Amino acid sequence: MLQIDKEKCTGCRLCEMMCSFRHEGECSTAKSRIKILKDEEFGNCLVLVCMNCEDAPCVASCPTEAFKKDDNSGIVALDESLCIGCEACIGVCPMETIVLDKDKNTVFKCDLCGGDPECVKWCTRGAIKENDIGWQARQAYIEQANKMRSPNSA
Amino acid sequence: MHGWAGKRLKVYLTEGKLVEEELTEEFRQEYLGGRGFNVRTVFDEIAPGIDPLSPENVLTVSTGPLAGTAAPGMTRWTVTAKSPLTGIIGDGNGGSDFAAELKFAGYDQIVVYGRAASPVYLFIKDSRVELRDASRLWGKTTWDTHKLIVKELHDSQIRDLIIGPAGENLVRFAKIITNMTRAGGKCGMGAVMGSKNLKAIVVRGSGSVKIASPDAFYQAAQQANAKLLASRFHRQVLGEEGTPYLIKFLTSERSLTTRNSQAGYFEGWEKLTSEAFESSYAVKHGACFSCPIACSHYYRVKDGPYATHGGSNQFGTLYPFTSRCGSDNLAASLHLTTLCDQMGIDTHSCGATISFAMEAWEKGLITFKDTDGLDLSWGNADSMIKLVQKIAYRQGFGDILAEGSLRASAQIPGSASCLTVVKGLECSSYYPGEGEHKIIGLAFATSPIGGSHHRGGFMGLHSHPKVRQALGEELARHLRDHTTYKGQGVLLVVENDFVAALNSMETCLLLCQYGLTADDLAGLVSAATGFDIDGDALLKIGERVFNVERAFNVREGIRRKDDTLPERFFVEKETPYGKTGINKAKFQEMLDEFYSFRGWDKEGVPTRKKLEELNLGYIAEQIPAS
Repeated sequence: MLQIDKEKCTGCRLCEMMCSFRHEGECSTAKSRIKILKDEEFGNCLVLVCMNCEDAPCVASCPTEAFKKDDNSGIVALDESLCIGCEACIGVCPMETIVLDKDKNTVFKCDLCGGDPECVKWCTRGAIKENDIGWQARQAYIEQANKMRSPNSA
Repeated sequence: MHGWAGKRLKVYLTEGKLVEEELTEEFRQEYLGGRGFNVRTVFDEIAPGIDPLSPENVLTVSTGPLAGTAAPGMTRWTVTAKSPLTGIIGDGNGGSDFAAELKFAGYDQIVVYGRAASPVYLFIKDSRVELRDASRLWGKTTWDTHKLIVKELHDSQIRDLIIGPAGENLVRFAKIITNMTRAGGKCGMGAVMGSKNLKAIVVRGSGSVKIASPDAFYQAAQQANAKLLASRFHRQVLGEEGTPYLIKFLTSERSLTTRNSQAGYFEGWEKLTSEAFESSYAVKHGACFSCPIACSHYYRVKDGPYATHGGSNQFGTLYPFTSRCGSDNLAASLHLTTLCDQMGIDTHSCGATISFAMEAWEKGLITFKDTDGLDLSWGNADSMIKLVQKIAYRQGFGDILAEGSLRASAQIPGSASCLTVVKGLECSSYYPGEGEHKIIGLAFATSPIGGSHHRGGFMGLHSHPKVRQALGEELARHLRDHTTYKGQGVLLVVENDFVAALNSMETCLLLCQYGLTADDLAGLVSAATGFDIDGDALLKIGERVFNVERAFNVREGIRRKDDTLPERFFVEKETPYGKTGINKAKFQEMLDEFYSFRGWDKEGVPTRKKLEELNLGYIAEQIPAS
């Protein structure tokens, strides 16, 4: 699981660059599985990435069972080959980190790079770490992130 | 297309017309991007002798081939036009995320012509480009404008270039602000936007940057990143203290410009250090796009008369309103930094122009009746704050200072001796009068935009093969003794070309100071774009850029007589720490050495031979024969 300390995030967005590069072979914030929303007046950085919810709404919303939650690891996996691009999951994700790839008409989300997350490797200040954190802590972060979306943030 | 987006957007404001154009392979490979793209465009598109504030001026913004990639700190942008402050080529260079967004939207370059009939802003959302009405934004600060556009477009993550009241009011050193806290500051580019009725450029892009050799690119980016993180200077000094480390460093070198460059030592320096900042006002670190170092700091002054908050306490915002104006008030400096960001005023030229007025006040050349009743004694921060407001809105004495110090001195009899300008641009940051660094003096005198510290002179290339080859091993070794003159002209040429190249790649200069080398940069460009070059070829591009800039200035009448320094830098003094100041005769020898190694004639005009060697033969036709 990813553990986020947004106070340490400088907003450099190397995580976004390396995420899209690893998954798509090109650099693009739009094709990144992790997103940094910046408020440059105060330096606030909101790090949005899949928190692998306990009762994951994406799993329940998917008509083709493309999302599956692993009972042991708790990780929510997406089988893109089953995705029909209906976008039901996008609307229910509390972190808004499921994105439609318009070229392929399938959605994508964080897959923890199969256990070796690229974003963690490039985060100089340790704002993103790989840690075995419980659902309570992850849920707290989801709430914190949603609270932080100021009126200034769309 | 790899690396580059491959396109420029031409904006004809008079006609309200927008035209997309492919960038030719030759143009991309000869100029790379950023400062390089811009100089070639303004040389070709701006007719000699035009008024910089007329519709005939052309303003261009470019990114580099690595913008919007994981290459560390290589997503900057340059804005270039003929400068209203200096009448020669002018540019500002900025960071944050704008350049990445522009690349994702599909453009490497924007070129703006003419003048809109009423205020507009340019909105680019991928392939959708439009000019939108900016009437209700006119008169607003850069911060309010940003927030209003966010609301209008329902998107908090837009990236923008915005001018404030200073740009609208044609303050000759008005800057451009990107996303509230970062600036393309120098040379009055904000006033050029203002003269065109262009309030902002707003971008949103959802595209990608394609990489030619993914494996090689990943490896090169990883190596560059690792190199910076292993460097004490970059990780510890810049990463923790940020550029305000220079307060302490330049104090030790007697080069902290003090009281309008009358001295290099400021007695109140201890109240301005990064430690003083950290303990009272620092909020958190901030980074430009893809930069692992994060040299910037957000700040907050909680209460009191200087209460404020903002995003970038840098040396370039700090010294202008402290040591330069004889103030040790750090809170007031932060307040002034935010005020200048909101008004859209360059801190370097603004602090220098105010300190010029303060020296005129000290000498009794101006009094209360000239200054609208303001006391301009050294260190009077409250008067400085009022002056910045007056400059932005061109009120009273502010209207005179809004013209920049050179023009203001024409209105203040006897004040010419208080000037610290080269070619109309106030010398920034370093004070070469008392300090030992002779090369900084030469760098100011020969910089293409006037007295700028950002064109070379402190890049640490003493051991570069080109320097050693030209000077021989022994002389090259002696260059490290900064008090020497011989050989510094050669070193400056190599550093100029390196800086011009890294600016064309839109790499951060700080990361290349004792950090990333030309070979490192060339490796990244090659892997990303597929255009295979090495470090030497990169320097050649820098040399080409520097020569086109000189040609632009030569066409405007610049010659050897203009490559000089403010008189006060030539005053030699015996001090407790040695002999200081720059010797006039030796300065001329340095200039000879510099011209000769550049392949320029005695007047500083590039020779036809040099221009042809750089594939610039056509330019030789357009400037007076050397």
